Amino acid sequence: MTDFFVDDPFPDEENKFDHIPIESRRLLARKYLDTSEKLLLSLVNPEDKVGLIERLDQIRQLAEDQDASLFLSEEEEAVQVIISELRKTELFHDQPEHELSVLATQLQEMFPPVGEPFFQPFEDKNGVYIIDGKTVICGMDCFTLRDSQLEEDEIPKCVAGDEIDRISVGLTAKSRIFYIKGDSFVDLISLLPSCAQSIIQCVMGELRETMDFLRKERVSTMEQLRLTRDMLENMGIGLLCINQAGEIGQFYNALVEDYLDRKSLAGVPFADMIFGKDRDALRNYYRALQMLFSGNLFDPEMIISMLPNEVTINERIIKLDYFFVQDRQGHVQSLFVRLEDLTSERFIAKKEEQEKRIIDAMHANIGGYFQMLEDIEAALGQAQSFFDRFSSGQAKGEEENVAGLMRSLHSAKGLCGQYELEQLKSEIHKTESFVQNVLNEEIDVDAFKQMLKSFKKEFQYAVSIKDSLGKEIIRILQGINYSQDEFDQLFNAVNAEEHDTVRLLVQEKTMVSAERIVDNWSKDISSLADNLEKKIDFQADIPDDLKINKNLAHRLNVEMGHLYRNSVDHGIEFPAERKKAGKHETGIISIKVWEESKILKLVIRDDGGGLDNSRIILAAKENPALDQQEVEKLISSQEIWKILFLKGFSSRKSVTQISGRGVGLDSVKETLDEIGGTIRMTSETGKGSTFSVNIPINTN
Amino acid sequence: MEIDKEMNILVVDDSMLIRSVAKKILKNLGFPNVTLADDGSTALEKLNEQTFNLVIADMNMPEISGIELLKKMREKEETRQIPFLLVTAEESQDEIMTAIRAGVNNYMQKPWNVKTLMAKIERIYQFEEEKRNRPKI
Repeated sequence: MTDFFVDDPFPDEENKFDHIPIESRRLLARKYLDTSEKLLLSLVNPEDKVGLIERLDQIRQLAEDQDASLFLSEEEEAVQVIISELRKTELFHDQPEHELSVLATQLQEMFPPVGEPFFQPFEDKNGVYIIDGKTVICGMDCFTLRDSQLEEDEIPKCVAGDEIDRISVGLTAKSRIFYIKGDSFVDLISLLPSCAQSIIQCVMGELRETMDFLRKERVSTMEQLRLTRDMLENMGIGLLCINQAGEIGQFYNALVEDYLDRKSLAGVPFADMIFGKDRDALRNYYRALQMLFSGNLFDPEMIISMLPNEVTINERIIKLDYFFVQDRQGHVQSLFVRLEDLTSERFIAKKEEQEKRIIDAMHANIGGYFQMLEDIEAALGQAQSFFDRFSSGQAKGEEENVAGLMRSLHSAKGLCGQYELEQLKSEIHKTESFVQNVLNEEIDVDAFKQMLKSFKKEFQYAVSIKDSLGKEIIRILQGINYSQDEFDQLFNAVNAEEHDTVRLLVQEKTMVSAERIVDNWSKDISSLADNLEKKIDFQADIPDDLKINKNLAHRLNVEMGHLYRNSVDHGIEFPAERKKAGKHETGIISIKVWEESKILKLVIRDDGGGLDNSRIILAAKENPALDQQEVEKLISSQEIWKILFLKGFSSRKSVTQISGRGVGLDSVKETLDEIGGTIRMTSETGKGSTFSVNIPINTN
Repeated sequence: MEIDKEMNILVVDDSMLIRSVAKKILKNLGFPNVTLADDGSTALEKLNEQTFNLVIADMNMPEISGIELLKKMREKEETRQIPFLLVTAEESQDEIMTAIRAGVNNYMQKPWNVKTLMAKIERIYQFEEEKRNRPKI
């Protein structure tokens, strides 16, 4: 028989157990022997068994002899120690002695290395643990939601496997831990009915407690969810929830019904409501949704970024935001969608932009704005009294009054344009049409009344913009140089709402001499003439006390330049031609400026060859950019000169070196339209052409 | 969550302009170790030579596309775990879906934008950490 054992009964790895108390070492040794015995016996041949058993008995005798009494008593003692530990626990303290002693022998006492967890990961977590007198039951599905940052003396009755690690790291330094494996525990139930019952009751109690806790959590979570939903509703935001199939859940607020224009939304597929028939959008949406709920491998945030952020439903622009709820393993449970109506926000943004433009225009010419308000108020008054007379049957046939009213309205309209007051301009225009039609046909009194109301409303808006500046007016006015006295005067006038005074005081500072209109013209005309080898003089007749707004002067300086350029280019003939026609070799371009009844008048004249109507008509007919119907109309009404001002006329024909990039008379007309001005052209063949320009202005 | 700014980043794009802009943007964000590759094959070579902690590749490249590069990387043990950010031209959901299934970590729409790029890099690492923190069963 082979010698399997050495004399020393204790295994070579004895030093591994140095830290274990001596009384328990013997217990371990004994167990080791028992286990080894079983193992050996199962390995050896039957004929070797007897000899082996003899040998093992010898070893056992040796172990026992060495310290027999001590050994036995220590083993008993060990069991007693365990029993007394068990009695310290709530669970076992009044269990029968015999059950406890069986339990004690089954319990493994554990001596993990100091500071480390007391079992290997993924092993043996299920079971009953008794740690320092407290019983801990650990199972896969028993869990506590209590905070796992445990104090040293606070051990819950029931923990989840991964929390054992955390507890054990804190405890193993000084704890005694007894452990019974989950499988053995199951066997023990039959052996220890009383103990088992306590343990089960404990587990059930824990479960009940946990379930109650979960129930309360759920109630409070649902409550919070409901509050959030209602709060969002108050803020004008819709909230709904969709499941994996894209169906809307029970949980949504009333705004959603409003936005989607449908009641009873539970179970309805959300995508179909927002994409309608757009198959591509639907396909993409459902695909993303499927991926979102498909597991926890893909980042849900990334998938959500593929869902649409904005949709239009029933002409409303709706913003969509998404939020997902996931479990602890990262599986998405549900998807929440937030709906916000951006339509009015966008509308307001547009309105704010417009208001800013109005304020900027007002800043540029605040005196003018005040004047405009006065003029429009007057026109509004005239329109109102006209309406009153009309509705009581008196107005028909009073053409003079109508003409006066029309002029006021027209002039007011032009001023509106200067200050970007588009809606007010359109109301005035409507009023003009109305009043014009009054002479021709029956007008609906009610409609007229409504229209006046809108007119008034827009006017009040224009006033409110001025009012909204409040103290700001002072700051704008401060941008202009005032002496202290001047400023005091102004300040008082603004506070007292003396518009006239304010206007006067401001205009003094923002007005310039009308002579500025022709700044640089003389030089420009000279050089243009030289380039063409023509001889041209420039004359200006402008009263030196005539003052107009600085910006207007500048604008006219630039825009009216097209008129003299036209004269240089097409008006004044070459010196030789002029001589032949009996004219002075040097041609004259002249401008006369004056003011009459709040209209600024400019007359720009040249003594050139005048308009050649046939050439104009030919050029017009050949020009594809022109509306030929318009052309025909003008030809038949004998207003050939108007063809020059048609949009697109100059863009091809008169692109010469002098006239530049094809910007011509049509641009002049546009500019004048914007500021409410008009232009006429007259011409005498051989003698010259005259431009007559009228512009409504504020006067001092 | 700390992102190691010293990490090795590989940028793959066939446009030289984009490559230099990308390097500059990353440098400004505090990532100095950026290697550039002008196509998929070069990228694979570089991946053999050195360990990278992040690959940012354009979707549309001749010969080997961004998605093909991704697939090749995911096939090999050494490069399977390397975070991959795909740069897409316009929202083509078909291609993005393919990329996700092939194992892309995240995608970013052109043009290259400093804030978006940083947010995407942070999100990639944040999601990896979320995955690590999931309780073990």
